[in-house]
Amino acid sequence: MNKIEELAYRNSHTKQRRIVNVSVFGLIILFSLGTAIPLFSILFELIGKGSHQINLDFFTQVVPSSVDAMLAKQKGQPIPGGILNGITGTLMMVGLASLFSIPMGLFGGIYLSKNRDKKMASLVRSLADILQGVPSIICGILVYMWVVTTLHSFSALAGAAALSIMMIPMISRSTEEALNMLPNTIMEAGLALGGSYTSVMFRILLPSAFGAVFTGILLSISRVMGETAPLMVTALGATYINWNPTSPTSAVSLLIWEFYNDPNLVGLIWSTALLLMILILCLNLLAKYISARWRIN
Amino acid sequence: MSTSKIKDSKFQIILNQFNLISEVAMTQLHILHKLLEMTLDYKETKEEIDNNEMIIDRIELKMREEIAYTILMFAPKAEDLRRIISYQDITTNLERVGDLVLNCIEDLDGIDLDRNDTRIYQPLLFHMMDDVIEMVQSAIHSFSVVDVNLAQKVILSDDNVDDQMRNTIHILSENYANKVLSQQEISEMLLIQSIVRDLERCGDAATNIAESTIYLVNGRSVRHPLAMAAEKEDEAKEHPNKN
Amino acid sequence: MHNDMVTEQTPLSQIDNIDKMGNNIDRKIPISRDLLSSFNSNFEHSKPLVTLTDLSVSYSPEKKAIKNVNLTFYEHLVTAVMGPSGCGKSTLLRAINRMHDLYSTIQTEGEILLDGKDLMKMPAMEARRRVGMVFQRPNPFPTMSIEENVLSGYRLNGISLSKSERKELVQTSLENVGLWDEVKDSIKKRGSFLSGGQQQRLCIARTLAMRPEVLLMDEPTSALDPISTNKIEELILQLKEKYTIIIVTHNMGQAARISDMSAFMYLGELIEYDDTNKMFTNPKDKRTEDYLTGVFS
Repeated sequence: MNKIEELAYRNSHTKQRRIVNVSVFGLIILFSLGTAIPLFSILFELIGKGSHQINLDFFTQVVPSSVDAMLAKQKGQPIPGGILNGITGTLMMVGLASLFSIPMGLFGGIYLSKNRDKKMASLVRSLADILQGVPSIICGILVYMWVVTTLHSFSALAGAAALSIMMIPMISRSTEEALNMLPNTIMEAGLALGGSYTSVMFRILLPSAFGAVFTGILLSISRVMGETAPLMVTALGATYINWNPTSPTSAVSLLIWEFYNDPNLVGLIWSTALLLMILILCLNLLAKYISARWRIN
Repeated sequence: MSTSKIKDSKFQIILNQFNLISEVAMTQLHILHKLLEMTLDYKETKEEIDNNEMIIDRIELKMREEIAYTILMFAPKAEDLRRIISYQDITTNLERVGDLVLNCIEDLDGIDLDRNDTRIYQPLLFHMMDDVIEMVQSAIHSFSVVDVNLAQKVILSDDNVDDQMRNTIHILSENYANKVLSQQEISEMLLIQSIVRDLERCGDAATNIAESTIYLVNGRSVRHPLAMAAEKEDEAKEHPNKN
Repeated sequence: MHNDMVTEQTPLSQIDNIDKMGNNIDRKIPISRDLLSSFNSNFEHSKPLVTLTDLSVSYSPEKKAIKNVNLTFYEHLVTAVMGPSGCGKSTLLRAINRMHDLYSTIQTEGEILLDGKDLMKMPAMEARRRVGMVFQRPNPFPTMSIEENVLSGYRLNGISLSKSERKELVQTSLENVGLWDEVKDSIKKRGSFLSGGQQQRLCIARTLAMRPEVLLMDEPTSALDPISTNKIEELILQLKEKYTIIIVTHNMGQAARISDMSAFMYLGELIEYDDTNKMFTNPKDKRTEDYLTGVFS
């Protein structure tokens, strides 16, 4: 019997284990910093190359024509004009897309959360996941077939539709997750007071899950803000400020593509890209802040 | 006072019942005394006496139920536990006192106190009865106010009551030795002997009650004065600086 | 000796001779009824309020959680439902306020009558209005203030109240559970700063604000400290006057302290149902005895 008692006291190589511990810990820190490097280098590049191009005109003027840009380059002056048409276009299309997809996504999420074990709900959930994986250009082409052909023109509506197709599954799933994270007892308590499912959902559950739901919405907006391919085949672009949803519209992401193709306007890429990055970063940080404040214990 | 009002009110109920059975037992003792003084007539008070006895028995049964249920409800600890167990002990002893006093009363009724022969025993009976009444009263009181000294006094006075009983029986046998006795004389002699025996047992019951008081305070059971003295010695050894 | 009279269970007050005690020498010994609490049978004078007939609930087709339970709960009494884990006591409780409707896999058979009306046939919301429930873990609604929590039942049911009605209702409800003095200065704050016991009392106030007839309590003090437990037990004894209370509890001391009747369940069946004091001191069924003495738990 003595041998068994002594087993626990055998040498456990503490020194070696400590060394391994420290080195692995060091590697973890190194790799984590490593993942942040691409983001910082991108920002560094963009700020370096694009910040001199950002001035008041950048936000208030529309895109300059190619000729003006060429003349300015010859004279050594900064390129005139700005990207106002892109900004308004993005605002309008993302706005329209949100208007449509937030309610759909919310209700979808509520449906999925309530009917967790039903077969229909599992089917819908799988479809939503698949839809999230569909390449954005295909979404764009589908909308081209349905909307652009019907309206006989490219339009902001079409662009918004394409963006919606991408936003709805994201919002549904994040709403569903947010609602599932709430403790079950809150719903039961609400129902035990005699409330209908609707009143419990809208007066108790959604407000309690508000932080997570809102975060999901913000993240989906930030994701579609940078989409380019679907907009190319649905909104086409415009050189002027357009508020008419049935006409072709510009967008910030589209403008980057246009600047890329025009040798005279290439200089504007950096500033535009920087603006887009900053917008997306701000949205993400806002989402993080809200989710931290609204956490339910 | 504790954090549980439910517990407080339950213990209050038990306390009220305890006070009631104590009072009724004392009342019976006083009735016995007054019957001996001949200030009360047995036939007039018989109904009341029987009532009191019924009440004592009824309360004793009730207390047993209440105490069992209280233990179930609260799982009492420390002083609560000792108190509850003491209530049970004391109630049993008070019921015993009630029975003994009833016997005494019935025995007393069979004695004609106006006769010269029996009148000489009156002072003996009075003395013993007074002592026993005081013992019972003091024992109950010592429990109510948790007075250990009073309890010890009661325990020590048990011997005195024992002596009085033996003394009375001795006097009885002295007085009636070598005489031819009528049936009434024999019957009265036996009744007197029965009364003093029952009174002595009342004294024992009072002693038990006093011991419950000591248990309540110390958590230990003490059964004999000698043991008590021994305990005092032990305590003095443990704490030589005390007192 | 009147031994025969004594051994009968005659309440003392029925003995007429008590009054003659007043003629006692030198002192009058008052006897009042409440000095001697009587262990009379509780349900002889009470009206049945909730009647379960042949109630069976199954979570899956093969396994029944409760089988053919026949049980009657009496008005203005506290009934404890006890038993080892998994015996079906919570299932029984939740059947009474129709909580099982939420889960489609749960089948309920048998009849439940509430004051003569069929509970299973009335709309679920009405059933839950008349039968309130307090849960094991205190669950005040996290996004609502204390005041809003108390009124949440009205809000969920769409009942509108005037400002003065609201004020009065909040104050009365909180007074009834002994919380008013403790929180009257902070009723607009969220309930998260309250202690566990206070939160549970808030939940009770919230349920009682709807004036149900029956109050179901599922181990309401098992998550609380002893002092809070005491306060809630005292509260339950006060509430008995207005409501009928059914409480599931693991704690036999608690059942002894507050309940009038007790039901013992084992493996989904009702084994014994009797006055609490009779069942706990002298159970009729061996299984009850085994449970009470700890042969199984």
